Amino acid sequence: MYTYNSCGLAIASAFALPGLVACENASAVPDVRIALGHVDAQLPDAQAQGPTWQSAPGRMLLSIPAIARILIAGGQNVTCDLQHPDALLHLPVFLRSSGLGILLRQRKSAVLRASAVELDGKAILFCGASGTGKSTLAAVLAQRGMHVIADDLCAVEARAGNPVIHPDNGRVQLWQQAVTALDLQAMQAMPVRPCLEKFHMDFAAAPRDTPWPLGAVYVLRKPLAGQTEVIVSASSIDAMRLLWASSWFADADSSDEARDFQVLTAIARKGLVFQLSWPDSFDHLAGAIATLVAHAREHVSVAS
Amino acid sequence: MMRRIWIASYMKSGSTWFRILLANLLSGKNVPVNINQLPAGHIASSRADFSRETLIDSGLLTHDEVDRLRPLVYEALARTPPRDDTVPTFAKVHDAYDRLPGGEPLLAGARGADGAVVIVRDPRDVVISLARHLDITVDEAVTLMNDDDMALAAKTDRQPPQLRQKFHSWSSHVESWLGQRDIAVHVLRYEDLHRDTAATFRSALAFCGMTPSEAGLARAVSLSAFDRVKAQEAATGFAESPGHLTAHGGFFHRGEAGGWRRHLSPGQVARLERAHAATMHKLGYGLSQT
Repeated sequence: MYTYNSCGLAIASAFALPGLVACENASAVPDVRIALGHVDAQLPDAQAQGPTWQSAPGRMLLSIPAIARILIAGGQNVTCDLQHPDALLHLPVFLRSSGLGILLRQRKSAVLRASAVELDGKAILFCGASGTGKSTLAAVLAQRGMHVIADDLCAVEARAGNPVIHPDNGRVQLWQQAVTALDLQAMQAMPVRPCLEKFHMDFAAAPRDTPWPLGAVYVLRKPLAGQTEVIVSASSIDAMRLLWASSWFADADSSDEARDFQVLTAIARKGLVFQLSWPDSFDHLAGAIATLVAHAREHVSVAS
Repeated sequence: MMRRIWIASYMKSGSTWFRILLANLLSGKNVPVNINQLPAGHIASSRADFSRETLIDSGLLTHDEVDRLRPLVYEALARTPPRDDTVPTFAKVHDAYDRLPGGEPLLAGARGADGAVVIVRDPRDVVISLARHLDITVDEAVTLMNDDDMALAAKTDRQPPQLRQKFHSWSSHVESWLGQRDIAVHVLRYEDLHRDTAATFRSALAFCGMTPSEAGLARAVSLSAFDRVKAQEAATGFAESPGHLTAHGGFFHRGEAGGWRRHLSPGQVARLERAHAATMHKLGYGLSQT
């Protein structure tokens, strides 16, 4: 059995999940069990469905075409029916993203799509649309000595009104272009799937099963014309909009919007959300990174 | 009235102007819409739409795996109830009207949309704008427009911002849309929109089943005038613009028809006309060389 701790969940899997850092002090009673087994192609009592999924109360069937059917039930049991002889080379990365996201939603967690690093005991999150550079930013900060604590998903909760983060303890996924630009070829990383030029980079710190207090959330965006500020503080209303847009499947799953709203409001009200103009070229990273690190250090120390 | 309509075009053919016209018409206000919040902002190659509908991160799939799921995504989007059922839902698309190896239309045929406004522009003007947009030479842009394997966002060593879009050559792109029989098509020439914006826009709206008031139409045309749009871009930027255009005149640059006569060399004109003569003739773009 392979054991992990991700987004606050103790996970026991029948097969390896190379995208997550293995947890040596595994809980005797895991929160989530991942197993191989038969999964019917249809959920008989499905109440909603999309191109690749069907949902019934407490269950979600997700089909990764030509790889596996995945049944996720009760926020704790994941059954994978492999649809290809090499499926186990392809499946884990989907479990880490879609699978973990669905599990967390079934467990009523608010989930942000974010990479994260640790700074002075707090979690600094980087949100943004897919492809905006969240993983690259985490990798660049790791090269400067920070610990990466998430690459894809962060579960969020409010404790006594204070937001805390359960990061995914995942390895950073970098495309070949970023590996080359950041001069990381020596890591000889494993591809996330054999058919993709995208790799698991081993920056991650030892996994931790307790949450991190939230230091700041930076939402990455493309710089606009005439804009000189690299970092702009988001008003409460803008912060809510940005956090909502960064939430995992907030649109597809509206059943728990009120709870999500409460959790995200706790972040927005604390003034912890910033917009970060992130260059779309590796040539301009250094200046943006210097500004970001100085801002984050100042902000985290003031927030403490 | 149609429910869901593609705004289909080769790149740099006027689809953004058409979307701004639509946005100003539908806003009903006397001030220009924010060009960074265009209501017909959805594009068929949106990664966000794909991942929201499939619950799968598109960045974990190969381009071909994504393509196999795309028809299902457009079917699902077409089933989604519109925010406002009194106007059609418009979505932009730059892909050619392609079919998957099994024969299924990439865009799901009539299950993905009811019709398409296909915007075309003289390829000799397109090429100048394309060169600026992609930051390449005009000769390189001619080569791209003549290349039947031309695709954007097709690299595999990174995650392009959008899903891969197969354009093929300029004439193959146009013919793919005009030749398909799955959905109704209205052809809109950029040059006609330039010459008589109100009448050309009205005709496209009629195809979509929309009959705006003359006052509303005139207001939309005025608010969407090139100079006003360009001024707004200068003030606030345009999120859809490639970064390198910010310091080089912006996304909205000249907005003219027939500029190729001043800017293209005879050799460049000849290369384009040789490759696309039949389609140019069909669309009324006279050849300068015989």
